[in-house]
This record gives sequence, structure tokens and C-alpha cells, in this order.
Amino acid sequence: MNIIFLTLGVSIFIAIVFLAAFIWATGKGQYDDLETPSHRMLLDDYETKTENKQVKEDKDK
Amino acid sequence: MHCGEELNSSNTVESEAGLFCCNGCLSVYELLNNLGLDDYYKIKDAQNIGKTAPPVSMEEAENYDYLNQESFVELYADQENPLTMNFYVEGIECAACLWLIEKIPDYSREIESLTLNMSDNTATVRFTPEKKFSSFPEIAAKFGYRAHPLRIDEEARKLKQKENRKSLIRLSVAGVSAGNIMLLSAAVYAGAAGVFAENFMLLSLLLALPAVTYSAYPFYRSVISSLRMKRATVDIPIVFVILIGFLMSAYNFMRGSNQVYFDSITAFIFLLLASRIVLRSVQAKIAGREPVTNGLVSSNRILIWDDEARQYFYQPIDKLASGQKIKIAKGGRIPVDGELLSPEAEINLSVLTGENIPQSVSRNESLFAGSILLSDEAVLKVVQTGKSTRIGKILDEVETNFRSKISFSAYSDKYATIFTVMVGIIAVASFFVVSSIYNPSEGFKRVIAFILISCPCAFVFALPLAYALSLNSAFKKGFLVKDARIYEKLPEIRNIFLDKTGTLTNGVFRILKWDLDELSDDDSAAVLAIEKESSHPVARALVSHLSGKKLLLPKVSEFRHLYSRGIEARIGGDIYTLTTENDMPADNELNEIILTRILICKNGEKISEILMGDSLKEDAKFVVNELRQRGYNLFILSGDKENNVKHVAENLRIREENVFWERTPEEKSAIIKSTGQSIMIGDGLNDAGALSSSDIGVAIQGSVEESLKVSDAYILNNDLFTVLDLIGHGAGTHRTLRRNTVFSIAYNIAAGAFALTGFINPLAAAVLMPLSSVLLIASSVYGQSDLNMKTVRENI
Repeated sequence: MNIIFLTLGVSIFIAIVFLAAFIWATGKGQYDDLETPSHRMLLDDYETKTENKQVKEDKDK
Repeated sequence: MHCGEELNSSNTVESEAGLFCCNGCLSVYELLNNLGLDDYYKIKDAQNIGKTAPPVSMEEAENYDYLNQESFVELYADQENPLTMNFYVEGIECAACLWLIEKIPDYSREIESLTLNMSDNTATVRFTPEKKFSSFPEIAAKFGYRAHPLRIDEEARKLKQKENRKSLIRLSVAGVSAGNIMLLSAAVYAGAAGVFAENFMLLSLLLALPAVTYSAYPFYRSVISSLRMKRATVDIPIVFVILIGFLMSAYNFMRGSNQVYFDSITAFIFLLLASRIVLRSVQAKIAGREPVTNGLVSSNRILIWDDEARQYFYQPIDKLASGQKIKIAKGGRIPVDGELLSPEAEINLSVLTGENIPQSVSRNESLFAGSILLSDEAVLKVVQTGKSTRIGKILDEVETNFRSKISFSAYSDKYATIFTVMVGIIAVASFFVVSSIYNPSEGFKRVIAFILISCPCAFVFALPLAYALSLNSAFKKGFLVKDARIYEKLPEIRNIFLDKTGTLTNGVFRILKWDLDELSDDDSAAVLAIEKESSHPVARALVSHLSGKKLLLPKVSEFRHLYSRGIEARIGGDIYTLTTENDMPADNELNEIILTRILICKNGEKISEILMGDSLKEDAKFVVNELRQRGYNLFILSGDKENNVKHVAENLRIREENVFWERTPEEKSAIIKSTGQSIMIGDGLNDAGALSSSDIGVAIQGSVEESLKVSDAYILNNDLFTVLDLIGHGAGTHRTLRRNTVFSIAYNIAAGAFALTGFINPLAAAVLMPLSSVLLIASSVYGQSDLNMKTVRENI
């Protein structure tokens, strides 16, 4: 049954990894605006489709 | 086709692309098509976004060139990233708007990148090194949005952001600790014993440490400061429970006893932090839309006289200093208290007086900030600026009151204090009772269990949560609740007092009677041409009345204000005068309220007469009837003349003994005080006293600041229906709050009794404490579903 202490250690370790990930994400500002991204993710399919694209390509270079 | 407004014969504009309601929509549509952005309409359809606001009219589009000027760049550009500027964007309503705005960098050479935050309608724009800051508001204006540069107090914002992030991290630490301790405790409760139980408990102790120290830190800080100020707050029982619970559990663990409460305590901390975060985010959202802080000083720049260059230059408005000479354009708001240098000017002082009737000012007389210039451009000398102006002082005070009022402390602190005192008394008393029956150590053990289990959850998170949810839904329905106590008072209300002007009536000038046939087309055209020169409210009403006719406008010369009486101008060889008369026709066969009579004279001879006045709001009758049916006593309280008030009362079928006219502000408040159990609904400065002396004061949109300051709730739209929503909403919230309180008291009595009689062990505490919290949260959310009902208007 001593294996329990190993699994315990592993589970705590995993918890800490997730906590660290959360703290990192918070620090990056991922939770600063909770409203806009929910809209934004729906809009990726719509692209501008004209000669104006040129501007974007210029910038991307 | 652009905004979704329904087409009717009077407003349709035809074009190759289809039918539009106005030219504004048509030009936006064409522009979108040219830029290849017509997916905007697909997104709108796909997401079922119906009607949106029509675009800002192109004629009003501002010139933003000033933004490229050095002094403005300094002011608005981000200090760290001088290429970044923040804008507040008016008119953002839906995902399609988001898409449209965020596509701008794709085709603009001046804008590098852009992110829009829909929760506060701000856009953070990064420009290319050419630094053409005017490009963003210009493009936005083409699409029909209005963008205002925002000056963000970087430090305050960063601090707030840091605070918010930190509280999220505190929450997550508490969550990890509570979750893992629960797993371990479950094993112990299920029967783990010996070396397992011992190690599990040790691990629980270690896991509880960060929650008790780091996560709960804000509570300790707040208790220390409140003790210093000798004030009782909800945080005191919280800290009491956390500390006693943790120390007792640690002590018991050392002794080898299994009376440990780590699981309950960490779960408690977690729920507590979560409810605070919810409450704060709702409050921040509401504070962000506060109606008070914007609008008064509408412009961010001003023409200032430059002595060296001998001409006027645009400068940022907060560079104004007293003694400077500034120029205000016709229709502009005066941003400072000053002295008039021009010979004469006519102004609308309605912000301070609530009166829409213009006043005239002559040279060297004082002008107050917030008034609107109605006559031609005027030059004035600055005396006071910003917060030291008269209106600035009022606003400042309103703002502080507003912010301090929008807190929950009133409600929860009151109960928390009673609660803490009660628990303390019972704990001490029962210690002696139990000690005398058994022994002191048994007494101590039971009292500790009692303190732990007597959970103040109702006050520390269920009530704030219910309150936050309620504020949020109130906001969606169009009103702000500034004082939580109205929820307690609402059920007792029997009497509703209504102000007349601006509340029951529209409070604006409208033409009631004007026989246009009396006038020849030439004369009508002359009148229209003359009135177009003036921005007087009467003139605007006349212009909109005449604009239906197709008239060829003659040239106006020698336009002159006859100060406070009317206007005069020459057209061709004729002199026209339009003057207001104070004598009213005695018999009023019209179904409206007559306020003023205007004579139109040509070369001194009367050619026509206009009756102007105010009319009842469309919804007034319905709302008044509905309120009557709900059993409220309705009153009208007005400073207006007897005839006008009686006329309105008759229309609304309000009993004569309940109608008061020609009352001074003092009399108004006396009447309300002597009646009691009352709501006052009003807007003007003369209502401020009445609003504050009523049990609940409700200010409606467009109110003067004094009224806002003393009111308990504020209606954001100009819709009387919202009053009905407010009453229904208040009743619902009151039910939820009462249910939570009653439930919590019942729980505490039952659980407290068990603890004192020795039936409570850690397992029972671990089940009961979170269970009661979850039940209370469920009750708050359930109460919320009640409140999310449709508004009264939608139900019709």
C-alpha cells in the first residue's frame, strides 16, 4: 500500500503544475477581458477579400 | 439594410444596391462593399443580430487633425509605447462591430494593430511610425462609429489590473488547496486510519497553509484596518473562523486527535474569494458605465488665444488656465466658469437649473461651465477651470457619493455585526453552561465547534452574490441601483409621487398649433431660413416642423437676437421678427400643455401665431394605469401652473386631492415627508429635495446632478416602463435576500444547537458548511432567474 504515497506525490505535483499554468496565464493577461474573445473566436472565417490585402501583406513582411 | 431599421415610405432611399432607410446607412454600405468588408452583413445575419444603432451622421463627423498635434499626442499617447493610443468607441453593439473594427489594420497603412475590448468599449490602437493618430477615429467615423481618444491613468490602471490578477491567483491557490484537502479528508472520513490518516492529515495541514496565509491575506489586512478605525465589518467573523479553525485543527493534529477542519476552512476561503470576485467585477462593469462622469464637458479641446501668434489655436482642454481667452462656437458647451468678453450671448443653463428656456448674458457677466451657447460664437475669459467650476464641484461630490453608495457594506455589515455579537454571547454563555455540566475542556471543545459551524456565509457571500447578480440584471434592464437598502424598503411602499415636467411629460418644446395656411410659401421659407440661424430649442422645433415642406431658402441678412425676447432678421426688403409672448390664451381646447406663444411679424404686422408646449410621454398613461392597478396611491407633484398640472392629472385620471401644483422645492419635500412610505420619481433640480426626503428617490435620465446625487436609483433610458421593472425587480431581489437570510438563520440555529450538544464532528462540519454555502448560492442564482424575466415593455 505504500504506492499510495507515490501517487499522492504525483497528484500534488500535477496540481502544482496546473496552478503554475494558471498563474502564468493570469500574468499574461488572459483573464483581463472575458467578454470580447468569446465573440472574436467566431469571426475567424470572415476574411477581408480585396486588393486591400496588399497592405496587410506589406506589413507582414 | 445597414442598421436593420424597418423601411417605410417616408424614409426610404433607393440605390443600385437596394433600399436604405437613410443616406448614412447607404454610404456605410457602399464603403464596406468597396473595401471587401461586406461579410459584416453575413456575420450580423449569422448571429441573429437584428436592429443596430444607425450610424453617426456624416455631417457631424469631427475633424480629428488636432490629434496629430504635439500637445495632444503628449496627452493621449501611451507613455511606454508612444505609438499606442486608446480610444473609447461609441456604437459598438455586437460581434459584427467587433469584426469590422478589428479589420481596420488590414487595409489602413497608418494603423499597425488594434484590439477592441467589448466590455468597456475601448480600442487599443498601435499606429505605424508615421504617427498619424487621427486615422483611426476618421476610419471609424466612416463606418458610423464615433471614437474618442482616452486618457488612461496608466498607473491607476496597472494597479487595478495587478490587483485583479492577484485576486484571481489567490482564488486559484485556495482552490487547489481546498480541492486536494477534500480528496485526502474523504479518505480519512471513509475510514483510513493509522499511518495513512496521520500522513493525510499532515499533508492537509501543509496544503492548508498557503490558503490560510496567502489566499486569506486580504481579510487579515482589512480586519486590522477596520479594528484601527473601530468599525465592525463582515471580515471580522470571517477571520475569526479561519484563524480559530486552523489553529484548533493544527493543535488537535499535534495531539493526535482527528478533530481537524482543514477541508471546511479552505473550502470556505475559496467560496469567499470567488463571491468577492464576482461582486467586484459586476461593480466595475457598472462603474464603467456610470452616467455621471461623461457628457458634461463634451469636448476635449478648446480654441485658446495665443498672444504671440495673434490667433486662436486648438489646445487640450485641461491646459486651460484662468485668465486665458477662449472662443466657443455656436452650440458648444462652455467648459469653464468665465466672464463674457463678447458684447452679448444667449445660453441654455439647463444643467444647473433644469430650465430649457434660454437666458441672455451681456459683457463682463459670468457664465457657468456646462451651459450651452445658443447665439453665435462668443469669446470669454477663463475664471475657474475643471473641478473648481461650480458644476465641477457638484460633479465631484456626486461622484464620491455615487461611488461610496454603490457598495454593499450597508446591508451586510449591519447583519454581520449583529451576527458576530450574537455568536460571541452564545459562545461565552454556553462555555459556562457546558463546563458546569461536564468539564471545562469539553466546554471548550464544543464552543470551538460552535464557532466554526456558525457560518456567516449568508452575509459574507450569499447576500453579496445575490446583490451583484441583481445589480447586473438591473443594469441590463436600464437602471442603476445605488443604494441596496431600497430592496428592504420597496415592499412597504404605498405612495408614488411623480414629477410632471420631464417625468410624465417629455419636457421639450413641441409645436402644438400652427396654422401654416396663414403663411405664404415665401413667408414660411423666410421663417425657416431665419430659424436655421438659431440653436434655440424653439427654433429647432420650428425648423423640424417646416423641414417637411420643400422650400427654397432666401438669403438672410442682419440676423439679430432680440435678447431674451426673440430674433429679428432682414430678408430682401422685409424685416421679420419672431417673439415669444407671455400671455396665454385662457381657454385651452388642446389636449396638451401650452408653455409659450410665439408671434411672427413681418414689418411689424402679425402674420402668424404659434402655440408651443410640452406633451405627455406616450407610455405615461399605461404606466400610471398599471401602477394604479397594483394598488399604489399616485400623486403628481409639480412646480408648474395649476391649469397645466390639472390638465395632465385629468388625462392620467389621477384623483384631484392627490395633485399638487405650484409647489416650491421645500413644499414638495414637506408633502412627501408628511405622507411617508413613498417613492419619488423626478428629474429636475427642484425635485432634489423631494428625492432625498422620500423613502426611495428615483431619478430619470437627463436629471440634473443634484437629483442624481440624492436618488437611490437611476433610470438610464427615457422610458417610464422602467419604473415598473424597477418595482418588480426590487420585489424579486428582496425575496431572494430574505430567503437567504431566513435560511441562514435557520441553519445556524440548528447547526449551533448540534455543536453545543456535542453532536458535531469534523465530518458533519465538512458536509454541513459547504452544503449550506452551496444552497445559499443556488438560492441566489435561482432568485436571479426570477429577475431575468422580460421587461414589461417586451411583454406587451
